[in-house]
Amino acid sequence: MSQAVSRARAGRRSIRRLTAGKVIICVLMALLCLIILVPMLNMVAKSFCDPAWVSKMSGYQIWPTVPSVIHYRVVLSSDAMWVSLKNSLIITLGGTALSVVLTCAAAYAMTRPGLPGKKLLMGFFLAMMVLSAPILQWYFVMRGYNLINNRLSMILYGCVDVYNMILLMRFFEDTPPAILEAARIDGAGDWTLLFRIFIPLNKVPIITVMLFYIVPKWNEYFASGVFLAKDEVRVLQCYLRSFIVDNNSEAINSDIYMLFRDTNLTALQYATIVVSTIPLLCLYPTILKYFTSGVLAGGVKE
Amino acid sequence: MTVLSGTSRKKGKSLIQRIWDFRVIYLMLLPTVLYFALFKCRAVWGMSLAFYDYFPRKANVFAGWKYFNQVFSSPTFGTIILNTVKINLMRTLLCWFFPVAFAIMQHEVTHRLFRKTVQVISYLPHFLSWVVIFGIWNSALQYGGLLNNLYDLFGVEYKNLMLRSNTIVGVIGASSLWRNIGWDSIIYLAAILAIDTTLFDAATVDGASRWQIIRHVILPSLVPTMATILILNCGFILDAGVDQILVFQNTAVQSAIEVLDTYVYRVGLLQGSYSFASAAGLFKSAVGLVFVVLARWGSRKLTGTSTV
Repeated sequence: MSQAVSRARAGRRSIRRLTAGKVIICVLMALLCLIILVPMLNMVAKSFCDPAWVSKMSGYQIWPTVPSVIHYRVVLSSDAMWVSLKNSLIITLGGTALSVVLTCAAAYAMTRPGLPGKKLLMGFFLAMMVLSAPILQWYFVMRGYNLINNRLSMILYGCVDVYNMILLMRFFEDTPPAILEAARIDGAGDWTLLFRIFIPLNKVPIITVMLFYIVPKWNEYFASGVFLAKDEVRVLQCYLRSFIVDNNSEAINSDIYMLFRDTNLTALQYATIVVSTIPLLCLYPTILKYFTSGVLAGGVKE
Repeated sequence: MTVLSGTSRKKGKSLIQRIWDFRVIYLMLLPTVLYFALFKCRAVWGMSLAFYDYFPRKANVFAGWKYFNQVFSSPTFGTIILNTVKINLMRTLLCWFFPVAFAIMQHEVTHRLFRKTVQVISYLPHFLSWVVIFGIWNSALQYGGLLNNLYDLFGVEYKNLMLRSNTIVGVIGASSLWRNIGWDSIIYLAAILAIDTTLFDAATVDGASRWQIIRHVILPSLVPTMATILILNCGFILDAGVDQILVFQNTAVQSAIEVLDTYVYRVGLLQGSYSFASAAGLFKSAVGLVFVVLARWGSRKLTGTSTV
C-alpha cells in the first residue's frame, strides 16, 4: 500500500520534472533563436531607418524608428556593387555548372564495373583530396596560366571536389542494374546512359551536390580577393569586405556622392549586407530541402 | 586497330583491348584528371619553392633547408603555432559539445511547428559568408550595439570585445558556435532518430525519467558519432579557418589571432617573401596531411566503415 503510494508520488514527480525540463528546453531554444535573429533583424531595421535616426536606434530594436528607403536607393545605384554582383553570378553559376558536369561524369566513370586502373585513379583522387597547397602557390599557378584578373581562375579554382564525387558515386552504385541492361540492349552508349538514366534517376543527390558547390562559391572571398584584384572583376564578397570590414567608403562609387552625403555610413553598410544576402535567402528553402539529406547521406550512409 | 581487336578476341581480352573498350569512360574522366594534374598538382608541387631562392626573371637557386631554419628560428612562429592550435581546439570543443546538447533538445521538443521553426532559424547562419557574419557581429558588439545595451541594463561598463586582444579569441569561438550550432546538430539528431524505439519503450516501462533516458539511452548511442566527428576535426588541427580569422583581424588584435594560414598569406603574398612563406606553408601542409591521414585511419578503426 505505502509502496504503491510512493511509486505514484514518484511517478507524479517525474511528470512534473518532465514538464519543468521541457519548459527549460523551450526557453533555451527560444533564446538561441533570439541570439541568432535579433542582431540580423536589428541590422535590417537600421538599414531601413531614416539617416537621422539610425544612431539613436538601440541594438535590440527590430523595427525602424522612422522608415526610409534612402540607403537602398544609394546602394542600388552604386555601379561597383552591380559589377561585383554580376561577377559573383558569373563565377557562381558558371563554376557550378562546370563543377557539376565534371563531378557527374567522373562519378559515373568511376562506378563502371571492370574499369582498368580504377584503384589507381581512386588513389589519385583521394591523394588530391587530402593534399593542400597554400594560396600563394595557387597564385603562382594561376599567374602561370595568365589567369590573374580573369574570372576563369575562380571558375577553375576547386572545380572538382572529391568529397562530392564520392557522394555521387555512392548513389550511382545503387542504380538498379536491370535498367542499365535494358538501356544497353536498346543501344545506349555511355553518354546516353549518363544523361538519360543516371542524372534523371539521381536528381536529389545531384541537386545536393550542386548546392554544395554553389554556397561556398558564393560566399568565398579569400582566393577571389587574391586572383581577382581589379575592380572590374571583383566579386561581391570582396566588395563587401572592402566596404564593411575595411570600412572603405570609397568602395561605393563616387558619382553618387550627392545622394551619399546625407546618409548614414553604417546603415549603408547594413543595406549592402542585406542586398548581398537576398540571393542566398531565395535559395534557402531549396537548401533546407536538399542540404540536410546530403549531409546525412555523406556522413551516415553505410 | 581492327587487327588488334581481331587477335585479342581469340585469346580473351588483353589489357589494351579492355582499355580501348573503356575509351569513352576515360574521356569522361579526362577533364577532372587534367584539372587536378594541371592545377592542384602544380600548386602542391609549387611548395618546393621552399627549397629555392626565388628570382623573378631567372631560374631559382637551390637553397637547401635555409628557409626552414629561418621559419623555425623566427620568434613569432612558435606563438603562431600556439595560436592556431589554441583557436582550433577551442572551436572544436565548442562546436562539439553544444550541437550535441542542441540535438538532444530538438529531440525532446514534441511540438512540430516549434521544432521546425527553431531548426529553420538555427541553420541559417551556416549559409552566410564570414564577411556578412562579421557585419552582424560587429553591429552587435560595437559601442551602442546590442551587447552594449545589455551591459547598460545591468549597469556594467562596456568595452568593445572585438578591439581587445584578450577577448577576441572568445569572439572567434562564439561566432563559430553561432554559425554552426544548428547545422552541426543535424548529424547528431539523425543519430538519435536512428535509435531503436523499443529501447525508449523498455526504458519507460522500467520507470526511467526523461533525464535518465537521455543519460542512459541517448548519450551512449551518440558516442560513436561524437567520437568520429571529434577525431575527424582533429585532422584539421592546423586549419584555423582563414576566412573567419581574416575578417575579424584588426590592427588592435592582429597578433592575438594570427594563425598559420593568415601568416603564410601575409608574409608570402603581401610582403613578398615567397620562399619563406612556402617553407611555412609546406610545414603546415605536411603536418596537416599527417593529422588528416591519422584522423581518417582512427575514425575507420573506430566505426569499422570507410566514411569519407
